[in-house]
Amino acid sequence: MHLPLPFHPTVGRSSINDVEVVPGVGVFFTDAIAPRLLFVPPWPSRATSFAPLGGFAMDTRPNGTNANGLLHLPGGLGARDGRCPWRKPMLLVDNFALAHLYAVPLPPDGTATRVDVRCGLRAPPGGGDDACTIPGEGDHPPAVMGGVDGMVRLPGAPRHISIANPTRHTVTVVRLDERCGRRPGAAVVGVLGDARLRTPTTLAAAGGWVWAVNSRLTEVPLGAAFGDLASGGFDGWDFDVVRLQPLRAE
Amino acid sequence: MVAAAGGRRAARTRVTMIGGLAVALAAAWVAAAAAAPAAARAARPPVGGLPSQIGLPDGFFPKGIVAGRYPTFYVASLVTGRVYQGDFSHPSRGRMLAHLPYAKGLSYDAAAHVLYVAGIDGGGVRHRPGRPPALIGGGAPAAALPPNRRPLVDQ
Repeated sequence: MHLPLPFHPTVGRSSINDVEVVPGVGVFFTDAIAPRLLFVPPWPSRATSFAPLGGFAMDTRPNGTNANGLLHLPGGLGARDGRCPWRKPMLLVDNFALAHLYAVPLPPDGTATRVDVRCGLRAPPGGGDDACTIPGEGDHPPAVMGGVDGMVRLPGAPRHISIANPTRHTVTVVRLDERCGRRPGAAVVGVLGDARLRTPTTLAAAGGWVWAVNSRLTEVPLGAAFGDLASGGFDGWDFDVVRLQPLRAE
Repeated sequence: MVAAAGGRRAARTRVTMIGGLAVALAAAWVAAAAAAPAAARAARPPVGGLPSQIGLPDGFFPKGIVAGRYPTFYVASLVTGRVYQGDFSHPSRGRMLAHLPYAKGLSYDAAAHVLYVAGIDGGGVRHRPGRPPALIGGGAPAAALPPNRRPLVDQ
């Protein structure tokens, strides 16, 4: 999945995309073109280090955006069993191009374990395909997710993660499994297709609501360069933040 | 599709700007103008005490959003490198905080009240109150901004 822009301007051999503060530990960053996280300790340290993500699959196509959204889960991925390896503090990292989610332990140990995301939506009335399937695009990972970008935890529901799907113009909700398996698991339990969503890239939670910011990047004509966009050529374009309706688990 | 001027103007890559990161930052910090948000035009009547839609400055091309101390939020512009501060409860309240080479993801450290900005490839800055922004090492990826201690640009 590609956006029509050089979505990750790159200098050198990194393309920093998202950032997440882990209180008391430091700040982590995703790198869209390498299977690793960048880490900066708390101020005043200036050290920068890399944490490899062994097991993190990469889309090797040119301009493919890989590691993208990043979310700190201080209580882990929802497993009830306190002995479960997924119960420890984690970072959740998503891969935009492949629509994968990965669990990365804190502190990082060089591994990234893919979250097994299945469809938890009810089948459409009258049967037919899986509710997460989109014709021609298969069903795994759940096609309704499309590309995955920013993530946020739903207010009051720590096992529910809202994920922005820019190319689908939707927001999906996954519920992390309580069961402890060999790999962490989750199910898509909600899809919000609000007509106001226009290539939403990231989400915020505040005031009891989830808010999405509309990037409109999929509307940009092919061939437009950053210079065109930044120099005033798109001054007439409006942008906004929208408050989303509550997403109910199915 | 919205008719726009894409492709009509000569491409001006921002790579050169990053190459001169320190210069660009110094200039941007003092010269960035706060574009008037299109909030009033875009906002719907508040429902349940909060607006359903909050306008951002025209041409902003946002990428990242994060909630700060309620009701504050911050939005980063992928294209312009600007960071905008808004208010979830008042669509018309907003201001530009900074102008960076690039700005993508955001994260907010509530304890330290510091905003981190990702996407400053090839270099980065952290801002200390009362001082110019400082590079934080080769290849460092971030800017840290103290949102409420000192405006980084004139309003």
